Amino acid sequence: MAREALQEYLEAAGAEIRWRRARGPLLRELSDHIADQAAEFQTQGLEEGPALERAVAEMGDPAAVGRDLDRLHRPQNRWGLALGVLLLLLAGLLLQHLAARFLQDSEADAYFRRQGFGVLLAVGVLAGLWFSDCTLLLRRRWAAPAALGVLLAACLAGWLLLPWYDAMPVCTYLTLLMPVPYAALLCRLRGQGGGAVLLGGLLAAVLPLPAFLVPSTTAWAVSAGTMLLTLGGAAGLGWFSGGRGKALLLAWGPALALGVLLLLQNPGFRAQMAVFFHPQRDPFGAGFLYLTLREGRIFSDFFSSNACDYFLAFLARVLGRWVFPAASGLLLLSAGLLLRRTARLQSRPGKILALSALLPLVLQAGLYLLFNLGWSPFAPLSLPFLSYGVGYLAVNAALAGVHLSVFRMDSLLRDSAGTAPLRPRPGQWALPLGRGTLHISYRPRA
Amino acid sequence: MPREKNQPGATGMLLLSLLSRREMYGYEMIAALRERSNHVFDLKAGTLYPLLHGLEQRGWVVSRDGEAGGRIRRYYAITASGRAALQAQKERWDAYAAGVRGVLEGGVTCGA
Repeated sequence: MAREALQEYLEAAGAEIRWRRARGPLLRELSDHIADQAAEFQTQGLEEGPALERAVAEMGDPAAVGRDLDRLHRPQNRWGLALGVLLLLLAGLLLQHLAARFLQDSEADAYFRRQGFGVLLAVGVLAGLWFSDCTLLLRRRWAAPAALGVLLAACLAGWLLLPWYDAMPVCTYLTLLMPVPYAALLCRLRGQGGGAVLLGGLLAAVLPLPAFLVPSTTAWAVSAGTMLLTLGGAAGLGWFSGGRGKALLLAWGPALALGVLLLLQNPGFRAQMAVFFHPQRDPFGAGFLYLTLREGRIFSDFFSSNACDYFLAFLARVLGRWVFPAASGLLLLSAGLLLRRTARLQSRPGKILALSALLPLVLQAGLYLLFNLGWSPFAPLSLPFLSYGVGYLAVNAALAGVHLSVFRMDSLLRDSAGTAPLRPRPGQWALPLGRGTLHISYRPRA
Repeated sequence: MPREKNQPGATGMLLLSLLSRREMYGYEMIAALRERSNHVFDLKAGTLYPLLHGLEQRGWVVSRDGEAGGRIRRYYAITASGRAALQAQKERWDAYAAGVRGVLEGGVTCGA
């Protein structure tokens, strides 16, 4: 009888909460409260049944509670950001087509069709991840290690196929996705000491190594840089014991030393750095490229060979050098606003997860800009959503989708102290109640 | 003072004050409020949770899942902006209470 009263109360409250994913966590909090109150009544001498009934009666009107909670718990869809990404995708499609026409590329139409397919794929990937349940990465202990394992295994498979198949793009794309499960892994390390922080820092340098080996030094640097900045963000939030300063030192010190060592061991990177600092020593190769980009006197030959890498330089040539300060300002403004919104997320795991999806986009855009100015020793990956092919469009859309999903699910993301919170399944729940479990299921509303 | 149930006002200030001492879960807050107010404030759970979640949306409190007595509970803790809001609400409340006290006790007559 008492259990039926509790079930009726929770069903009545839950029926008012329209966001089905929110029902489970909210009803669990209410049922926990009832269980506490019932236990208190039992200590005052009531039997278990009457204690539970009285505890339910103390809760008040379930429909009113449900309505109040419903008003507060709605998915936070950031339509403005999604629209911004869509506009960038369409602008990229148009600008790349215009560039191909300008350069009288005979493949311009075929290229346009391919990019059109890429934009459609990117929109699908973004929407799919946006409306997915990103909390899974945090709720299930196995989810983050499994995701990292799958990404590493796919990189390894690509690397093994290297003699027969160019695995560089695949490894690059997969490496750019690694910071997201890495951030979910960090959320599990909350409250740990220096050893865990040190391990987190070293993992940041080691996990993206497939990109380093392919080799794509830029993808490795963007992925490792994102992971280290995310780890720094977690340390800044005071997630680790022993103080923020010590945590930052342990997170970044050994990892940066390892990163520098890896780069200095790479003969290709050493040669690239020598040309970057002394371009006049290589006047017919990469040095010529750096010099001309820095001086803004670039030639059509650059674009015809690899137009996507010089998209901003191309625009600057056609429209004027003001393109660079305008692009820099736009990038800084967008990054600043997005980081500010990320910092304002309610949940700390949400902040870390959103940061890990946002930073690869910002770092890619920054490196692309610097390269087009002739001031980046790293080759560019892509100008997110604007420049490059189907693979980068899909990967960057996936990162934007994760970012949007975190905002959407923010109110359901919780800091957990090594516990596995209840899974918010849409239709039915098994709520802990005393020694037993209370099963609640909802039929679709008419 | 604001009267809306979900708007942090008088009751919100009391909850922030409780949380400024230590983090608590919902049932603890109701019990502490009842005890410290000598049963003047006997908050219903149906009022508490929407209010707490409203404070959380404003960034004045944060919550986490923690374990206590073998069960997972949702603990709430005050944030830095929550402390600032509490301070501002305390000052408004002090001014309001001083005004009421002044009227009830005869007050200070000016220009008489």
